[in-house]
Amino acid sequence: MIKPKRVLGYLLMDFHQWVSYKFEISFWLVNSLIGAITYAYLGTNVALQRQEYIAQYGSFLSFLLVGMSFNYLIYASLDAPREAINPWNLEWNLTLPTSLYEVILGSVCFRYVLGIFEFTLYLSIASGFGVTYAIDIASTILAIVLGAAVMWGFGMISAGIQIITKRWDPVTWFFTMLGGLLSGVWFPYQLLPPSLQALSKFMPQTYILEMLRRAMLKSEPIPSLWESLYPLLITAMIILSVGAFVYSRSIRYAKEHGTVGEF
Amino acid sequence: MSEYAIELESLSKFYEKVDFKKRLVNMLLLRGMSGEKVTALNQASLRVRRGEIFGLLGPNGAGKTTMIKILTTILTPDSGTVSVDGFDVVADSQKVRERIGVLYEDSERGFGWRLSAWTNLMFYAREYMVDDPKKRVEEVLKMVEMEDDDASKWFQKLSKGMKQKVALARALMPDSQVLFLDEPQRSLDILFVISLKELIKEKFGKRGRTIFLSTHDMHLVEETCDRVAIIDKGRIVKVGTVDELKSLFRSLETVSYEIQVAHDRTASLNKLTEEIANIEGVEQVTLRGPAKLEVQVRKDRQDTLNRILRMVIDRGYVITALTQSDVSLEESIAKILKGERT
Repeated sequence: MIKPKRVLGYLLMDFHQWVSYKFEISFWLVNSLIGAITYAYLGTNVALQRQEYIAQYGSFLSFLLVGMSFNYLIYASLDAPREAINPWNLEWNLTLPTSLYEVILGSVCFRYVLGIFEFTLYLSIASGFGVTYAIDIASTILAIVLGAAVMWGFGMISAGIQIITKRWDPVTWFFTMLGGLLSGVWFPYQLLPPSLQALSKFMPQTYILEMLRRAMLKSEPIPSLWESLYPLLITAMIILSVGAFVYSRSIRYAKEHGTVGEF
Repeated sequence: MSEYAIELESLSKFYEKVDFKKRLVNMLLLRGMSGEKVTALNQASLRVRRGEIFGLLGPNGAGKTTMIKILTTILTPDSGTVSVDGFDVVADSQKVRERIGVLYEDSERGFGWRLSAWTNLMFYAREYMVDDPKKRVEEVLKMVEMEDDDASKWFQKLSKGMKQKVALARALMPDSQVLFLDEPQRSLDILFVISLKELIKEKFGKRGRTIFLSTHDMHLVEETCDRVAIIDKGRIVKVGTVDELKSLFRSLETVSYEIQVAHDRTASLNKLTEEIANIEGVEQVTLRGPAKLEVQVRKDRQDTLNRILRMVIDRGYVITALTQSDVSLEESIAKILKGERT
């Protein structure tokens, strides 16, 4: 049973850590503003505007915004388990009565708070550049939850590997390096060469983004998203189970070998 | 409910000497341990009663920290059974963690270095689900005698001793049934070590809580522990009260005295030592410093001490102190570890 008080503990701890870096906060705010303005400007001006695939979503800027939401909200799920297994804290996280799932959920909370703030900023500035939204709230939430679940599963696999290797993590590398290129975060994957498009179809982010764009920009209800939804649902169940297995097995391995606190 | 708060039965733990690649292959192939092993604990058995303050002593690398890590569930044993407050540390690890407070040797871990001691402790208060986190943080800060000014400083700006106090406050946070303290006196100033002893005995020990204390500080053990276990090379070699351990090495035939004299005549103490050695009933005389003698006297010669003191005074020395010396706990443990009379 997940206890909200413990999750809140992690959220507040991360918030206090974050506000202690005052210069970084200012930098982050300025960075977000510049980023939002840059993307808004690019999105309303580039030739991509006329690209057929993008046209169905209104504008290139609208298309980009969903990529942003994916990055800020869903990638947090990939990072959180890895942050929770930081060897400096893992020993203590395992000594507390807090369950591993509370630790991971608690660790992701502040990332989501920041992500929502940043995403709202992007949405607001983009609307100043003339972007309009057509959001189906239920489909959007479902897409984000499913996307987060899949990424959470991958995050646990990644964290599990890092508990053993202490440094090398191919999962995060694969998703951060290749995900942006292949899954359609910044431009439609349909613009890629056919061989790379085939790879895109094996990446769950491709389906998450597709669902998000249709939910947020075309106001499509859940039933009409079914063909993207069911592969994601199955993927989420498989990846979450594999992730939970790898993560718990790695913790068990570290406890058996006395490497919990090793760097 | 068992009368024991902590029970270890034939506990063994080995560490495998493997490099990174082998470790990865073992994990991927779901293999167990293989290769060369280092023994950390070897068939260790121990029982700590509820409400007892129990000390664990032993040389470096004896297995003390491994034992504490197993008892606090962050390390799993290879064989044997271990329970804390009636719960198995492997099968019921969550229940064990709900019942313990811990101070590890590397106590600075788990703290946000850019957060105040107060904020760090508030986090732990929430994780331990205490009813009123603010009130509890105030209580534990008061227990470790930490002023508000220090509690509001960033953790990284605190001295080593202050950091140790914050870690001790974290260990006290859950007001647990069993408290594990690994080298609690580390980096603490002498005044707070006195308070720590009182904290262990009065504020915690007398409330029926069990304390498992691992330390190299013999004074802390002598003044606080009800019983002590000596561990060496992963084995429990002796368990008993401090007095029982000392009595193993007390002579039945002789008694020792320390004679302290004024400093101005120390140059000729060597000659005095030789003269005292010739007194009937004196077994041994040893110079213990520039102005101190230790004399071992046979118990059946009651006048010997009088004759010694008369000789010291007749030779013009001023006696500043006379004490009957006992075997120290440190000496007893050293002898136990060397295998004498065990």
